[in-house]
Amino acid sequence: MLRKIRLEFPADPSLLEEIREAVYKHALNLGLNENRAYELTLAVDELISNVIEHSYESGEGTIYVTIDTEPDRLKLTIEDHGKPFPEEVLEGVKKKPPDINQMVKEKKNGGMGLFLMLKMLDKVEYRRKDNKNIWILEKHKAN
Amino acid sequence: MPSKLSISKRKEGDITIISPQGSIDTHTAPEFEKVLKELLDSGQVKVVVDMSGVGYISSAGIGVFMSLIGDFRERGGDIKAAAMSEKVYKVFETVGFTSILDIKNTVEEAVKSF
Repeated sequence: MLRKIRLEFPADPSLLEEIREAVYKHALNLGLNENRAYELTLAVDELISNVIEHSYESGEGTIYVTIDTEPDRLKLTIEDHGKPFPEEVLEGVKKKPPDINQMVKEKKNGGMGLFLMLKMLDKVEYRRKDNKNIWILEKHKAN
Repeated sequence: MPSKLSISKRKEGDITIISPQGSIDTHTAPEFEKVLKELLDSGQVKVVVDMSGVGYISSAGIGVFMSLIGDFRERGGDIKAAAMSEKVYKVFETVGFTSILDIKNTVEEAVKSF
């Protein structure tokens, strides 16, 4: 059965727990096992945290999450109307994972979110269209 | 329901054991960071983080360990972690932090390892 679920959240980090609960619950209902639903939820948390902090620069905004189910995978579309995401950052992380030893040496407290998101998903695409950041995330139902 | 985190502290000799309860995410990581910074500033540099009450961590939580562990080590101490759930451990492992942070199965083991 193919189903589509749409969720809408204000860009407020205090709601992250609620967002995670909603995504996890729908992911389980739509056919992911617990482990895969957890991985997808972590990826969504990382992306939405990034949108709140960088795209909306911790100001007001709305984040739209659409969950589509296909026979073998879940496909999430996450959209916002904030600042354009610098695509080269994503390409950079895809090519070269962050060097954790160097980050500890430099006492950095961020810079791993996108990497973690990529590791938790089977496919990640980004595009900018109609003044929106559009992220498409895919998680397979099985290996 | 908003993300929640409460943090309790206790001492065993010169070692401080902190026990966060809840989720460490973008919203709550600053509270966790504040507690660790206060320990550092007051010279309590041998710290065990009892992770048994942490049901969820994101990269924001890992970032707190990542940015502060060097300061604790430079002052002759360390931050060690104990009693992580499998899911929480997986996040540390995925970003490669398990080779940097000393993670023990139990708080007792972590305390003894200082």
